[in-house]
Amino acid sequence: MNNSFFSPSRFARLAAYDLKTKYKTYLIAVVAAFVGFTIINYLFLDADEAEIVSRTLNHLTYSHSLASFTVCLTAFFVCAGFSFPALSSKKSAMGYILLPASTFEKYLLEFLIKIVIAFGVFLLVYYLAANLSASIAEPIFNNRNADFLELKHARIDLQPFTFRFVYKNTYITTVQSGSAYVDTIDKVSVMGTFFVGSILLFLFNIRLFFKRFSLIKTVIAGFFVYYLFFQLMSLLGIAFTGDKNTAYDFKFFYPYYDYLFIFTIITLIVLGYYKLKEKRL
Amino acid sequence: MLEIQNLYFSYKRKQPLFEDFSLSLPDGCIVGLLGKNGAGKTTLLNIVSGLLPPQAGKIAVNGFTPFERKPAFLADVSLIAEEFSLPQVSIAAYTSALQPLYPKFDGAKLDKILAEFELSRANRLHKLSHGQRKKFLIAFALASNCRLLILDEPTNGLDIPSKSQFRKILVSSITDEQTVLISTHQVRDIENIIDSIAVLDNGRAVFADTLENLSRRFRFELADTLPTNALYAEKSIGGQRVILPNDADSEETEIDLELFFNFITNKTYE
Repeated sequence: MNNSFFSPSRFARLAAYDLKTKYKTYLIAVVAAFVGFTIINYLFLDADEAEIVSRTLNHLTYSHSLASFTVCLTAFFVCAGFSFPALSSKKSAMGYILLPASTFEKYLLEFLIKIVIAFGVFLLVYYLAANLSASIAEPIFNNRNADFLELKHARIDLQPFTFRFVYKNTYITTVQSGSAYVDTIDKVSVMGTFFVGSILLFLFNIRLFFKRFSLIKTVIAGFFVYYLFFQLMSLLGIAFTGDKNTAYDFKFFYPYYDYLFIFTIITLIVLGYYKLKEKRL
Repeated sequence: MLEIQNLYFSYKRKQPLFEDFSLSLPDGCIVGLLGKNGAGKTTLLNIVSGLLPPQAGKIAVNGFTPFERKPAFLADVSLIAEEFSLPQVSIAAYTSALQPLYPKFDGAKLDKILAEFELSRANRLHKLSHGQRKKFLIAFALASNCRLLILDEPTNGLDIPSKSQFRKILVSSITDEQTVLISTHQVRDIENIIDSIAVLDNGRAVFADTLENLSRRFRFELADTLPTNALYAEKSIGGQRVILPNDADSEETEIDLELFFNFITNKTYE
């Protein structure tokens, strides 16, 4: 039967069920994220106060901290690790598995909510929180440094946060950190996006891959995967170039990383779907 | 309707729970699934509902293979487990969210059963007792009009009046097309509502038949002395409860399910 796999109307009903029964959890998560991100952003601005004053005096613009964005993005990743919450216990798993919808519909809904929509909401919440914390910090910093700024006839004016800062900072940080073969910002963006996406998908599927102690198992599995990955790249680097000095220099494979991460993402999606399909109590 | 053939199932590093297990249940019956602790009643219900896959053998429910978990199958099967989890919303919110997924759901029937259980749509699920939540689940399952209702220890957690309400509501709510599979230790809670029994023992269905046939084949009596043709007997206040073969012309007696269960599980039935 065709609609055993996907039916738009059934999918809509499943989505409505999810939203009606979990809207409070989602709202709490958004509010908690907004408050948390505002605090984190403020703390990073506070730590950068001296630099902000210095840049103001030198007529330079202060770019918001990439570190605060990274911390908040990490929090988003951790939240992705709590996808498929119903599978955390036998009691709730039973109800979830027996919901009258196809496995594909259940997987797709979770993917849309926890990855696609959640990422959009994350960006929006982060944007609002970063600007709120900047508008809170600005008068505080002006007040704290009033005497000093008055002497120089200056005033701290924090520029509104934009994602261009994050983009630009990522590029500058990557290039400055010594990744000599990172030649264009586009390359960094594309590869970085796929790399981040593969980690996100792995976290998204945690509860499907591991029944118990999922976090510990994920850390151990992640460690071994990355260890094996780097060892393999090193060995292949030597094998292809014949130069032992190329060990751990991944320049040779650099053009293929995009494909590797895309392959990882697709594999994780397919694997996650089949793990859910075969999920047993 | 429910057809199990040569089922084999074993948990990891444990003795097989089912070996060459077969069972067939027609439409429109209420079946009591009886068995000792660890006999595999709950596991069987999980296999029938699609929560666990059989390791060998065939199983068909309403023409579907349960573990394929096709939406049409899931919409026609309702399982009430002994332990369950419900979201922290009102009955009204939960019902309005879930009922669209059950095409045969009857809202009026739900309201009627809820009223009989002294519940209302305004009740918040997380503020109800375990017994009340179970009553709501029973009401929802009955209102969903699924062809197969699976109830695992449905009377556990229910008070005495609720047990009697449950029996009354179950009998009056199901239709001839529906099959109800009830697993329980509380034989007395269901003996007046079931029309068939299936007894699990040592990985097999050691007995599966209608109560009508059971009554035709056996007599249940309270005797002062042990009759010579007694198939099974247990000492009781006022004499001995005995099971006797029923002769063709003998009058049928009231079935003592507890005694019959002990008979079946203590002796290989032939």
